[in-house]
Formats: sequence, structure tokens, C-alpha cells
Amino acid sequence: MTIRDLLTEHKDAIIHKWIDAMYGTYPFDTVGFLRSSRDQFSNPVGHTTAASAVVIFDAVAGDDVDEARLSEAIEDVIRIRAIQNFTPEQAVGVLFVLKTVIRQMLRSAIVRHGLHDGQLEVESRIDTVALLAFGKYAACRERLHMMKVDDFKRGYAQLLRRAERILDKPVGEPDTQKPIA
Amino acid sequence: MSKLPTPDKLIATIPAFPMEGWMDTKPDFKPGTWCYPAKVDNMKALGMPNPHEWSADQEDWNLPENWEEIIYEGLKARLAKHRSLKVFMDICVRCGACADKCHFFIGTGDPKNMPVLRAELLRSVYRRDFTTAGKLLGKLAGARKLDKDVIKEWFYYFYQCTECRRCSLFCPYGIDTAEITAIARELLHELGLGIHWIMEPVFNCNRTGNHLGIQPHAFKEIVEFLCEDIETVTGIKINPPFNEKGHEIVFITPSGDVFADPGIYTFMGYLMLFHEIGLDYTLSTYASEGGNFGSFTTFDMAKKLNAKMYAEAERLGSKWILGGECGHMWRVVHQYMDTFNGPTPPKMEVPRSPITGTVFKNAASTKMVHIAEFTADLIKHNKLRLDPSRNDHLTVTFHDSCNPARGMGLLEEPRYVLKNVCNNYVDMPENTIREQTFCCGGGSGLNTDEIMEIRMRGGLPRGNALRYVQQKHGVNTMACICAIDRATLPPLANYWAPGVTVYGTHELVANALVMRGEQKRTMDLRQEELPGMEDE
Repeated sequence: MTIRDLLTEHKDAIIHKWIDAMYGTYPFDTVGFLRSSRDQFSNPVGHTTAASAVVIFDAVAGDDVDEARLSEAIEDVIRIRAIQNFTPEQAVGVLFVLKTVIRQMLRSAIVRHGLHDGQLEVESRIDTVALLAFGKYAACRERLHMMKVDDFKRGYAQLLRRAERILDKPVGEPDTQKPIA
Repeated sequence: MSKLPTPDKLIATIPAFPMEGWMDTKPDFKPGTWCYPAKVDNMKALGMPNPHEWSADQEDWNLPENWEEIIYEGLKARLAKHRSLKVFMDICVRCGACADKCHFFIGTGDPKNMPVLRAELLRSVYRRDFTTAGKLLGKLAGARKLDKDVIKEWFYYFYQCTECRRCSLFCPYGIDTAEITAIARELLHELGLGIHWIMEPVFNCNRTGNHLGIQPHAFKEIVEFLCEDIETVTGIKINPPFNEKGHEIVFITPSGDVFADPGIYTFMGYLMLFHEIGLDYTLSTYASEGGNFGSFTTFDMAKKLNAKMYAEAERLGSKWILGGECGHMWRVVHQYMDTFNGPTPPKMEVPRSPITGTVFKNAASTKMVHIAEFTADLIKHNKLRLDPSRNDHLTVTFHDSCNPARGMGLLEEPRYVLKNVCNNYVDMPENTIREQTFCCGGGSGLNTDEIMEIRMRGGLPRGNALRYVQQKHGVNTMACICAIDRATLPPLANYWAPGVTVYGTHELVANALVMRGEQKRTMDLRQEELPGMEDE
């Protein structure tokens, strides 16, 4: 018995509990919808969370991973949580909850089979996933701010062009050259 | 000193079961979730009631002293004026059919964005003051006392509704939640609460004729820049008429098409099309805005800003109005204009295409035709020479703008046009298009950058569907027929489906349009090389 065997055996139950914990970060009245609506277009948050959880779980369990696929699964979840009403900790922290779920569900089996080293490896992989998620969260937030700037530039594109023609120089340059000290 | 919390504790946002009912939970005005207040000067100049300084993140919103009376009288007057409002207030059985249909609910997960509950924010106050059950039974009958927190809650949630009416589609009673939002916003305006992003364009439109307040000479100059660009791409010099009397048609489009990227390319597309078919039209620097942010303010303001269209058609002696690609402009034209400002000036006529002879009977009362209908008719009658292979590097999908789709049923015409000018066209999934289309997240005057986060939440369902066709079918282009879409969809695509570019439909038309006397096209309207057609 390896930790991977144990995780595979309990895969559905663990993922189910983890997804429930992620849904639990949304208001009570919304959880039922996230859980019950299966359509990926009517319930993109629930669908994406559930779909990504499976890919992330497999990676954490120690399966050989398609890194691009894992990266995409993490990004899909984080891209949503990065703009929702969460603190950064809340947005990314749901990945650590997988540790808690595994500990709660498999503690006695891990002790019984002496799989502590394996458990540490699993938890390290969760740390890796969380670090990747941290990078993605930062990228999402950065993109959000860039979008504000781009929005402005697009909105005034032709006025800026007109100003440049009148001034005969790119907008934003100072009126006079600073003397070189 | 304390022990570090576990990750589980750190992420625990809310208790497993809410500690208080929805009436007692308050919105949290975090930065990025609320729009900046309107300028006092603009509000004064427009004659809006109770203009004053305030900000949503402050405890005190400086409401007028008799604010409760103002709301009571305001609601009473509107219930008397709009029978629909009274019906909407009374008839909802809270079946929940609308609950999960709102893009803001789907994207935020906030239960107060369920349309039924958002309407309940107003309905609860209505029940207290205007129903016997509410007066007698209070909270038991779903009534609640109006306090300042309720006003704040209204502001928070009625500015998280884009008036898209997707929920109405699913309501068995046909309750028009957009009108509930519109009236709730009117009530907020009675207290002097409006947002800058809406009221500045309203002020500019009222004074100068377009959202940015661009004066006629600058407007003309900017259109001429675009004509220079057309000449660069096609070798053809176009001199569009401005404010000229005696032309058959006056063309009115959102000013975003003149000033903003990527709308300008759509505008260039209009000019090229009109030139090619020899349309007898004029532009107007007075009616230089098709959009109507008045419709996000009050019905009276919508009427006032809309009036210029007929006034200008009459002044210029045009027989009918051709309207550009816009969203809410068409809701106003199709559903309100006739009531607001009809009947049309006596010399206007039922629109008839001078090229094909088609009579647009659907526009018999408004005398205004959507350019997608006009162009679809041209193509149907084989009046345009098109080379869709110029758009072969694009795999195109179409975003149905809420207002033309649900507000006027314009579903087939844009698709017909696109399929004729592009060889690669794919629709997004069925429950995200046509009548069921998802909003761009920025309609009804919410396309301001200070709430980019909220916009991305509202845009999530659209972004999700777009990403699906991007991954499944290699879609790299999203076409639309709305100027607000052209402003809101680029960031939406950038966030949810990076790699998809947003185009106006008539930009794609113009790329494919084979014009008499044109030079060999090697560039598209953005002056980017057309793959396979580079200069040899």
C-alpha cells in the first residue's frame, strides 16, 4: 500500500469534500446553486471548480502530470477567485484545504500503513500547486490593473491622436526639454 | 500575542450558516466595487434634484433632510405613472426562475444579485408603505423599514444590474427587472445620488451632443483622420457630408465609434459601405451620439437626449434615420422613442432602402433602421461585392448585445452579414447567445474602469462561453454590434479568453468589401497585414 494507492481508493470522497469546502467560501444561499447546477455555461464557477479539482488532485496524488494541463486547471480556478469578493488569502488558500481534507479522511489509514513520508510528499506537492496559484493570482491582478489603463487609452484614442497632431509630438512629453545639468 | 490561524481559518469567509437574514446583511463598499459619484456641477447644470457631495465609502452620504419623504413620494408617483411597476411589485411569486440567470449572480455568487432578491430590495419598502399586509404585518409580510442602509444597498445592487433583461426572459410573469432597476435608479437620483460615468456623458450629450463633449469642428476633424486611414488602406478618398440639408438619410451612431478603439474601425466600415453604394446621407455633428445615457438616469432624461434625433432629422430634411451599431440606443429607439418623442416629424417617411427598394415596415413608426438590417438587405439583394477570404485568418463568433437581441429581436441579421463576409463562423453555446445572451458586464453605464473587478465578475459567463469556443474551435475574433461592447469586450476577452480580438461587424464587412477603384488590399482597417495578401 502506497499513499498513491490510498488516495486513489478515496479519490471521489476526497475531491467531493474538497469541492464542498471551496463552495463553502461562497455565501450560504449560493452554495446550493454551485453544487446542483451541472451546466458548464449556466454555472461556470461550480463547473470550473469541480473540473479543476480533479486535475489538481491527480497531480497532488503523484500521477505523472501534463504540466500545461495542471497549469490551466489552477489558472481556471484562480482567474475566477482573483476577481471575486475574496482576500488574496481566501482566493488562493482553498488549495491548502486539500491538505486538511486528506489529513481528516486518511489519518488513521496513514498511521496504520505507516505512510507518513508519502503524506509529506503529497503535502509538498500541494505547496507547489499553491505556489503556482500564487503566481497566477498575481498575474491576474496585474492584468486587471493594466486593463484599466488600456481602457482609458482606447476610450480616448482619437482625441490623443488629434492632440498629437496639434502639438506635433507624442502626448505625454514635456513642453520644453529640461536643460542638461 | 496570539497563535497563527490555520489556513482553513484564514480562508473562512463566512459562517456555514448565515447569522442574520438578508435584510440585515449590509454591503461592503470595498474599492473596485462602486462607481464614483457624479460631479455636483454636472448635476446642477442638468437640473437634477438635490445635487451634493458624497462618496459611497463614507459613512454619511449627506442625504437631504427629508430623504424618507422624498423616497415615499417618489415611489408613490412612479407607481401611479407606471402601471407596470405596480404589477411587477405585486405579482412576483418568488418562484426563483430568474435567480440563477443573472450574469452578476453567476459571477459574484452574491445572493442579492439574484434578480428576485435585487427586486426585493425595492419591493420590501413598497410593501411597507403601499400594501395593507406590509403595513400590518411588517417583516412577516416581507416588508421592512426604510433606513439609510437600505439606500446604500440600493445603490450597491442597482448599480450591479446592467438592465440586460436576461432574467425577464425566464420569468413566467414577464417581470421586467430592467425597469425595476431603472426606477430604483430614478429614486436614487431624487436623493442626488448618481454616478460620474453616466452623468458626465449625459451632461456632455445635453450640451454638446456626444458623450465626450467633442465640439463640431473637432468631431469633423477626427472623422477626417479616419478618412485618411481609409485612403491609406484602400486608396479611395471619402469626403463624408456633415450637417448638410436635403439628404435622404441622416446617419447616427454612438460617438464611441468616432473616438474610441476599436469602434473607429467600425465607423470606417460604415463610411466605406456608404461610399460604395452611393448612399445619399449626411452625418450630423449635433446628433453626434446615438447612445443615450439618459436611459440609465431617468425616463425624462432619456426622452430629452433622444429628442435630438428627430429634431435633427427634421432640421436637415431627412426622410429617415439610419442608425449605427449600438446596444441601448436600440432599446430606446425600439421601445421608448415613439412614446417619448413620436409621432415623427411630418416630412419623415417609412424607411425604404434606396439601393434595394426594401421597405422597412418594422420601422414604420420610428423611421429608424438598424444598420445590420440595412446591410443584410444589401447582401440579400446581391448589391455588395464581397471577398470574405480577406477575413480567412479570423475564426469569428458573435456576441449578441442584450438590447438588440432581447430588446428588439435582432438575431439573424448580424449573423447573416457575418457569414457572408467571413468564411469561418462559429456560434457560442446555445444557452449563451440570441435571446439567452449573456451581458458584457458593463451595460447600463457600468463600463467604467474603477469597477473593473465588478465588470469581470459580471462578464464571467460571457467570458466562459467565449473561452469554450476559443479552445474548441480556435475562435480568435468576437464580433458585436454595440459600442459599449466594443469598449467592454476587449478587457473581458483579455481576462477570460486572452487571444480573442473584438471587432465591430461593419469592420469585418469593410475588410471584405470590394470597392470600385480600390488599390490591392494588403492591410485590414487596423493597418495590419492581411495574411496571404501581402505586397509582392
